[in-house]
Amino acid sequence: MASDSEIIELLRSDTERERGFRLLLKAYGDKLYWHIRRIVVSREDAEDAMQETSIKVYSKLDSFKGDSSLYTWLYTIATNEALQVLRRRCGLFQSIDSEGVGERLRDTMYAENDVDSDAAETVFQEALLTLPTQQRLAFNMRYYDEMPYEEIAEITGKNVNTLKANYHFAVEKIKKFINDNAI
Amino acid sequence: MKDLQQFAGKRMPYKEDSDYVSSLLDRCADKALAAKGGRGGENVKAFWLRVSSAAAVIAVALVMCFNLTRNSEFDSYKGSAPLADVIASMSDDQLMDIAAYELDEIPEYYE
Repeated sequence: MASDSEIIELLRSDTERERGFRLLLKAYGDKLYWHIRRIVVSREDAEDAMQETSIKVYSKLDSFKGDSSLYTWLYTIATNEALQVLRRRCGLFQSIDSEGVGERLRDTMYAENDVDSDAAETVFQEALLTLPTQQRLAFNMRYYDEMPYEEIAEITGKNVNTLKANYHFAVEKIKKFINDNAI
Repeated sequence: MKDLQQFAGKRMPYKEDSDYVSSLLDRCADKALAAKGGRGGENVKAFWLRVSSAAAVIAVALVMCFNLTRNSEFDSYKGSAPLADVIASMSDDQLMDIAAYELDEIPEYYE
């Protein structure tokens, strides 16, 4: 797999930019897709958000100065696009942090995906969907992507200590949900 | 975190396999590249739209300025009343010469 510096070099070249972009998606696309999928839950929405992320990444390549890592930059765009899709789904009158959002996403998870409701991973996802969106976001990046808090802070624009507290509370809530609901 | 790892690990309950994601990413790349080209065309259209809008605004502004100038000329014309000056400066005979009609053409004046 191509390294970040090789990809960046290709992206900065007028003739190799397209190849660089394809390599970029090959290197990070899979992680970005699952990151988005975990946020929006719906597969169709995940495809839309992934599509918008790719378009935005390609159109903003010139604005990537290399101050942050390629990975952080991509995650920031993907997170924003996923939240944008989620906001569209919630409509004008519901915030993405309101309580009803988790329930709706849980319904989506069961309706759109042929999931086994007793499987541990399903119960785990259900537990995650009881969290407020921002807390869920921080938990996902820490747990699934194993990102350092500093990078999550850069992506979400939140304070590191707030994120640590969020993560701690998220873990406690998930454990409690699992204890109450796992068969 | 260890407890959670033991419970479900990092598995997801969704069924997409790597082929699906890989094919989606290829489509995304194609669309992003096409959109960039398309957006170039859109930029040209947007440019001409802006130019024509600016031209329309300038044209309207020019017409308004022109009318305002004319109105102010008309106002000064009204203020100086040049027609009254012209009439005042004319003799009775000259005024009679420019009369548009004869009094006997209006019969009711004589009834």
